[in-house]
Amino acid sequence: MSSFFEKYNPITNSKARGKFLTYIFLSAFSIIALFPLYFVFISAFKKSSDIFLNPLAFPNTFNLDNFRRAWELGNISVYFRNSVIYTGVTLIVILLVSTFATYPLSRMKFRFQSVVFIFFISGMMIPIQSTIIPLSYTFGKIAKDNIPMIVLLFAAFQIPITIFLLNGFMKGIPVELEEAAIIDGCTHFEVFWKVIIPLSTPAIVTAAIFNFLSIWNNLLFPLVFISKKNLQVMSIGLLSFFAEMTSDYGGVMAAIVVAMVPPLLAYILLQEKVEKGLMAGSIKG
Amino acid sequence: MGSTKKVTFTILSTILIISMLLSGCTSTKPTNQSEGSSKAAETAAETKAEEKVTIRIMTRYSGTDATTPILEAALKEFAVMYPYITVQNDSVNDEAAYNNKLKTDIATGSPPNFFYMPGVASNVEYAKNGLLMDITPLMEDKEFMDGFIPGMFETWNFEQYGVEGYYGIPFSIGVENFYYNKDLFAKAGIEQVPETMEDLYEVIDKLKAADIVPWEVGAKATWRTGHIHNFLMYKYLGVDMVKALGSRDAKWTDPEVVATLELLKDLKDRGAFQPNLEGEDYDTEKANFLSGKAAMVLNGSWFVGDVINSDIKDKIGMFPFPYFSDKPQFKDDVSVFPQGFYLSGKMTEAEKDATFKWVKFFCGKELQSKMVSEIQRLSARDDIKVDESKLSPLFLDVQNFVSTIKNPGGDSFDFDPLPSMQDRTRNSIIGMLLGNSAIEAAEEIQNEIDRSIQ
Amino acid sequence: MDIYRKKLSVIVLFLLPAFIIYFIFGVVPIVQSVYFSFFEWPGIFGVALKPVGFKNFINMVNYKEFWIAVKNVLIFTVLNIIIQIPIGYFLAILLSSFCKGYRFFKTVFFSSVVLPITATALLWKFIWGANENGLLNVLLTKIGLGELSAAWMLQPSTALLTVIIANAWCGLGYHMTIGFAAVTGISEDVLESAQIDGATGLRRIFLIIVPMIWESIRTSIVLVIIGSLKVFDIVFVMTEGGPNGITHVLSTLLYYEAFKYNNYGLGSAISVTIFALSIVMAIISLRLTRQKEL
Repeated sequence: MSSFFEKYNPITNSKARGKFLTYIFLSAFSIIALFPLYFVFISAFKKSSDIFLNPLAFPNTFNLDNFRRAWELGNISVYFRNSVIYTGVTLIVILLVSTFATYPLSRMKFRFQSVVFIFFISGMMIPIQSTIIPLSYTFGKIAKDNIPMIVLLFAAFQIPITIFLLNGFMKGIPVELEEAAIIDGCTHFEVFWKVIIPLSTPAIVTAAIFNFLSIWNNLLFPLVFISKKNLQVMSIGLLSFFAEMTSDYGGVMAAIVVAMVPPLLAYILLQEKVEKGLMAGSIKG
Repeated sequence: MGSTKKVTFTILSTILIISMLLSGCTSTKPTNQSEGSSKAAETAAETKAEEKVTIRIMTRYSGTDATTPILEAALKEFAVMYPYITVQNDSVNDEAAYNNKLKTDIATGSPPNFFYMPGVASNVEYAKNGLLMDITPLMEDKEFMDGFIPGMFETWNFEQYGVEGYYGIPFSIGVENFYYNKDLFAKAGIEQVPETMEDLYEVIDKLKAADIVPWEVGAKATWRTGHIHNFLMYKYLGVDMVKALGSRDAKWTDPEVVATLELLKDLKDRGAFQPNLEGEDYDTEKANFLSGKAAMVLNGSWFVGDVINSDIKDKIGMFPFPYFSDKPQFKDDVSVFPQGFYLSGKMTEAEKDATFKWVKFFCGKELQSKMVSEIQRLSARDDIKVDESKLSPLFLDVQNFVSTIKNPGGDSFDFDPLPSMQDRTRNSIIGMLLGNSAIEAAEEIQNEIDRSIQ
Repeated sequence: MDIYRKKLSVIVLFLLPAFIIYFIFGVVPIVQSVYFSFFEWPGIFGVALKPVGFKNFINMVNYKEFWIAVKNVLIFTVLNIIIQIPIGYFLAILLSSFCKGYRFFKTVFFSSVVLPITATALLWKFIWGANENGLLNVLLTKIGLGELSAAWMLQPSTALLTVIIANAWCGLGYHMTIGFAAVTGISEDVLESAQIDGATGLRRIFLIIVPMIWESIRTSIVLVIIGSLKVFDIVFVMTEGGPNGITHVLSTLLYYEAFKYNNYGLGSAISVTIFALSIVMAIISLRLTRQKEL
């Protein structure tokens, strides 16, 4: 493993004190991070009325009613499956399209380069709310319940930030590596595919994670463009528990627990990839 | 992979796979045919090979809303009765999400065929532009019309706002009154329910002396205090004066109107409510009342469902909002919230036909009777047939109370054509409770109106 | 080499897919919404747009709530930068030591990011609740500091802070991840030579590592700025801009004006403001944090 970092990390390379402090800080922040999640987890097993009355108490019995209700009433299974599919497909589209686009922006030279860059980036700055009306005005009739179109709509809004994230990393790749490949006779595409992409893996993975989350949690687009219940997504499914006059907090907590699983899974999976990439990088470099 | 990682990974991916398999299994649901089968056979025999039509409905009855099972059962039965009509149900529970979606539909010119939209006067613009259908043709069906409580359709008679025609179809009504805990009243030595406001102030004092929260209000849901203010206006000024505010014949900064705001602030100052009511949400309010922690709440007939499902259902009674003893003429001016549905003004003949059939079914005698007996919600019809022995005494009390109402009014902003008034009035009330003066609140509201006139 | 770097056909080909998707589905609507800001439209299909020139912008500027929203959003942005970035990167550096269990900690920190925003908002509403309905107040009372308990979300002084802290809680893992990727991407040669040069003390290393990941920090700052200026979900679910508009941010104001009150023109004017503010602040921040060439 990377004992190199263990040696050179400023915090820990000095004595045990460094290690000790590290653990103290990490643990303290972990408690802060986990505490609300602990609350969600135990509440998922309590009756709705109990949640308010005894918030911190561990549940007496592990009541699965909330989960059952969340599953049936909230139609969670269908929404879940849909969220997974849309998110996955959109993710692939975004990553493909953005990595290709960032390559010339970060590693090539052409006139109007910064103009094009700003053109893409400025898309990040408009809040989605203001574009919903023009979007549904122009595309509303065609896009309704039309999955390929919706994927493209999602993707369009995620491209700016993905390019932005990738650009920073891609710029940092040493020129020598590229030049070596070119001298070896690689075409642009080969340089891109064989050198730049592998080296950008941490960035690509980071972008994948963030896009996954944005799409997974996105509320507005599915709300406006998807009306068929069997095509609907998870984020709306959660909303269906929030009634104006009756509120099923227990069911909500259970639904949240279920909603957290795929992103966590994705993160854990992708984390492995990142490390493999880093390992490969450190051996080569 | 480290072994703990491996285990976590396996568990999580198993969950994922199971859920995907399950979703495959549950995507086909068997339709319940037994109930409507005989009726269906009749109607099926009557209708010839009709062309397939799809209509879209949008309501708030989704998720955990109490009316959801009624809607879903209705959809199933309707599908059997009229197999050639597909009803697409776009109902959403959450208020913000619902408004968002509805607004976008309207903005792109494709409103649902049958839908709920909050507000009354503020929807006149839509009627003017042909988005809402004038339902007068529907009203020619005598059998359908006769069963409604007289005057129900008047709420949506837009002539009072300058547009001819009737636009809304009543579905249910919510009438508001006090619900109180009989045990707690007894504990505080209160023998009679209050009839006048002066009585109410006495009751509040007695409850406070006995260390009981007199009146629980979850004002984080701003409609709670909004509704209290509605009543104060109706009892102090009368419903007609409130209508004058909407037609701009009166101002919020007029002294009598400011006085009604003062009355509300005064209630807080004399300790009628629990501390920090502005931070408590509606569910907590309900939970506190239904667990015996507070003596009274002001709520609508939709609350009966919650009461009869609680542990203290036998201890809860009701009484109407008190009147001012020097203003007995407003004794029967009461908050009543008719809930109705609008129809799209942009339908083809086939869609109109299908939608009318849906309306007559959903707002018709059978379905309405079912609603009253199953979820104890007040219907807009009075020709319903229910087994009264199955209904709770509380519900019957409320039902009887409805017949005593002479001058009903909804939310004060229902009469106001400005869409922002709903939030403006409610928010200014909260601002007042949190420290502003009554006149400041009145000015905030009046400014909003003045701004829009420019 | 230059020919390689300037080959136009490659440049165009690589840029094209992203460009097409972004242009049709992203740019066109954005331009349309700017167009809308010069008109009045009640949001009803078929009703013509009424040209009003700059009236929407003038109304916006005269609107008391608008300035409250601007103030709030700026406070939000600044505090987010101050809280999230240092802590996030600090944790990243700690984690880059690959100490035992670092993966566990990484997942823990990221799980707060993974929660759906509605969930986070509900959660924190409960924590900050008034009276005995708020976790924080309950805990304070338990340890005898009951007088400190307050209606956190109602007081003008603390209302916005409650949202900021909730937002920071779920933002930390975000920047920790970016930071971690950056720190572990530092070339080993640099660290080795630093080590050889005797740079072991905390201070000296911060002078080496931090500059190496400076690009990444700059990225984080810009992301925070842009994200904060258009924040919507968490404010909306937690406070809806209330009570009485004191926690309104620009996006929530936009939402209310357009979707509830049918002032699409005014709403579009607000979105143009957000856009302008984002550009200005992003450029300022990039300029201020520009690294001198090594």
